[in-house]
Amino acid sequence: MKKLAIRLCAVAFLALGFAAVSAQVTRPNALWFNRVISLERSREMYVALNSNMWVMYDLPQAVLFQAWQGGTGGGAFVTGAPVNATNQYWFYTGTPQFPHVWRPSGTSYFKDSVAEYFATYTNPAHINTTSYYVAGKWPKQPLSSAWGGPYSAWTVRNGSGQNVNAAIRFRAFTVPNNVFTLKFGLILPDNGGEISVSESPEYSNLPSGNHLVRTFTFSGIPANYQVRLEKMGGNNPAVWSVTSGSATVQGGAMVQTANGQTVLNGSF
Amino acid sequence: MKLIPYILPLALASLSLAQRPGDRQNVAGVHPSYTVENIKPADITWAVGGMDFMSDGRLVITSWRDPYEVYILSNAIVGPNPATATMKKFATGLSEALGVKVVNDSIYVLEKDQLTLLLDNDNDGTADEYRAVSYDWTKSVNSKEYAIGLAFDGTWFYGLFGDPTVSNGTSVDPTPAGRQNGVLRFRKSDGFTEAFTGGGRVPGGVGMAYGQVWVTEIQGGYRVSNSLYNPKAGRWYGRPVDPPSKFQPAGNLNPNTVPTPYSSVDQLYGAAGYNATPISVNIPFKTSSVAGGGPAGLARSPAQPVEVKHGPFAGQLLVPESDREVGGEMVRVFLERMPNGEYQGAAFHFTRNTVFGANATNGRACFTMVEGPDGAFYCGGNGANAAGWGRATNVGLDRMKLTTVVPFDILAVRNMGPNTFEFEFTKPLAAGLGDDVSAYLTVNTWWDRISEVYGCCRRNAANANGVTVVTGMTATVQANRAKVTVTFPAALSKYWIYYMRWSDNIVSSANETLYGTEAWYTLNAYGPGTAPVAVQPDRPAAPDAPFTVSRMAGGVMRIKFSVANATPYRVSLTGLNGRTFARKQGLGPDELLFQPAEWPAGITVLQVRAGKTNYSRLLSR
Repeated sequence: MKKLAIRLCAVAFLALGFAAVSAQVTRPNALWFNRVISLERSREMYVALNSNMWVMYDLPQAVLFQAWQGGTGGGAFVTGAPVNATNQYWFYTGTPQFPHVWRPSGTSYFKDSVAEYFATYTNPAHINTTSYYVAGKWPKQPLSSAWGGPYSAWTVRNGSGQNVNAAIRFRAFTVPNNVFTLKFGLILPDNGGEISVSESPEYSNLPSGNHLVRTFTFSGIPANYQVRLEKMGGNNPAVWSVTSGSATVQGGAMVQTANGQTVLNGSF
Repeated sequence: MKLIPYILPLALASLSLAQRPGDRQNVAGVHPSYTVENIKPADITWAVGGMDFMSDGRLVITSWRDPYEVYILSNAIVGPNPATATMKKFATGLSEALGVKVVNDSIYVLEKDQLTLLLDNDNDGTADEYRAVSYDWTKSVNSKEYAIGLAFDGTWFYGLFGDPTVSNGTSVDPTPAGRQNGVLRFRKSDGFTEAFTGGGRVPGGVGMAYGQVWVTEIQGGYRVSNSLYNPKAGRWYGRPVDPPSKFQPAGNLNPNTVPTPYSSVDQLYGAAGYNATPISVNIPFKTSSVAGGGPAGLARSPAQPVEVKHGPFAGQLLVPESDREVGGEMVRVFLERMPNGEYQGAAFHFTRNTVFGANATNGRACFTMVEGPDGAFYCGGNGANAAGWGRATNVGLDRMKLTTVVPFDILAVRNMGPNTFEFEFTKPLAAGLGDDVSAYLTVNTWWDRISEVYGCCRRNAANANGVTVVTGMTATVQANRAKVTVTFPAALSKYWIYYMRWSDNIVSSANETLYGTEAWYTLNAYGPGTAPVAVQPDRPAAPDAPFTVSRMAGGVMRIKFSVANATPYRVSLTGLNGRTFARKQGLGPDELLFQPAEWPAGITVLQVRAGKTNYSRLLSR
């Protein structure tokens, strides 16, 4: 019953969203979307949906990996160590080396680790985890599957259930009428084409509590293939439910098998 | 083998003591051939990141502060009353956009971590789509990993990327995996990205001149000079990092174990395992603490180079000064194309940085300079200071316009052969000077040693810190009296910087003293050279190239042309040092095989002309 209520609310929200195309959605911060560098990585982007819901995307992995209630602690060009991280390499002998980091403020709903991005022409030997990620050098981060590591935010499986190792390619984001949409592709190997995905996050407090309503749109999924969001966000898959569309939640992943729209609701 | 014939122990022995602006001092103001007016709208309260013009004269300008944004100034900014220009925010939430390029009225910005196309789909004057053209480069959280641009050659965008330094100037070790300190280029059609050059340090600016890309680095390789060069595919410009970046010779250049890795200039540019590409023009850094002394430098932080198309200096480059510190100067550069196809030339005094910006304290900078639709130059300042590019400054937007005034100045310095330079002045020398003006010329020479950290040094003929004073030359006025031939008794040294200064005894036929008495010439090859040649930019080898390259057993390379019948083609394989290993030509469709002996190990440049189109591709074996 609760799931049904949430689904109805999400549908109502979407209807309102489409109806509000001509009016700008109000956001809690003038700078409501911003490409920032965190302590861990560059190429991140926060979107301030509501004072109760700020989210952060990692753009190269095309994944929402952080959500919190609150706001921004600023950052930009700080001259003091933003956290106790003197062992990290950009703190040369304990002194911050031109850190240019951004920090959230408030109460975290979740924050995941995300693989960092390396240029495609990187010499794989230079990401030798026994020398690159040692204490006092670069901080340990999960290694993406593109470089032989275990991390995949999105995967694509063929009709045999095999991971085809699709490459993630962030394409764009759009902000008409203060509505944020992330657009990216999952590029299939062997000139197999590209699955286009978009995600538009919104905040909802209906029927109660704080909800992150994520509307996905898929196109180009080959027959019998499935697209999997392996990192829905946080360690508790139970907070996530599909309220609209054909996707299902399986083993901690959102699984989409057909083109079209799916709404994933997170309750916090 | 060193060919400097005469060495005096003290570098400045022959210099006279009296100084004046333009003579062993920065010039005092704007060059008389130009005027500078501050046109900064009151709404601009931030440092400028990049600028370019729309086809209708509107000026696109990016802010270098948080938040990083893009604004568009109305085209009144290029009119007689720029104060009436209005400004509208076009985009926000960027990541340090230090470069912008307008192509067919579409706005591309180079952010620190992404090349982005900004689109206004609903035509309301504000970007509503931020499209990632490319982000295919490694970017850590180190804020010194600057990305500066943009230049566009019709096919590719070019940006210059800095190495990740810490406060003592050392590169982070290990550098972030895949971080390329050098030029990257991005194909406009599909965003395909490739490392174009390596060995860069802190990027200064990127511009187009003569149809080619030109870049500046702030003390590239920690030389005692700033660097100006036209990057070419696969080349490496001398700043080692660990592990080696792409194109960096492996093995000899670990900056941690070999902090000053080159014992001689010949080793730097010629020895196996080093093989750096010579810098086209070294612009000596203005500092009071050059190890070994010698003449003061010219500029501190070079910025976006711009080709001069009008006036007495047409065909030359201007290199703005982005540093607001005392001692900064916009520099004029004369370039000549040498018989080996490479550029070199001389730097001269031009305009003091203090003329830019309305605020004498926070002005003094020109970081990005573009030519407007009216032919004037437009300067945006970022107010950098010497330490870490601090940017808590409010700096200017200035317009630099040509006047009709031509002062008595050094117009050009040309190398005419192993032991000869030719000076050309803007006006004839006074007849009273006679034909022999040798007594009024001072020449110093040195090479700049590369080091891992700040502080090293000019090296003289004894390979010690210092400069070498050259004597014994003759300076003879030519018949038109606007040129002087300087002949040395022995061959000049390649890869060395020649500093040449005329005393104030040299006057024009109207009894004017020189605006700037000094020239700094970088001699990499012997002339005579020619004026810069506009080139047709290379087109990419893929995906629209009419040929494929494949590798076969036994190290054989196959090039297959799929072209119309009887289409002529030419193919050459060239090393990064310019040496040609193989040339073939014929009529397509055809198939060529290169045997291992024709295709050496390492990186080579494959150049193909099919029909009337040029292509190039880097090969690695």
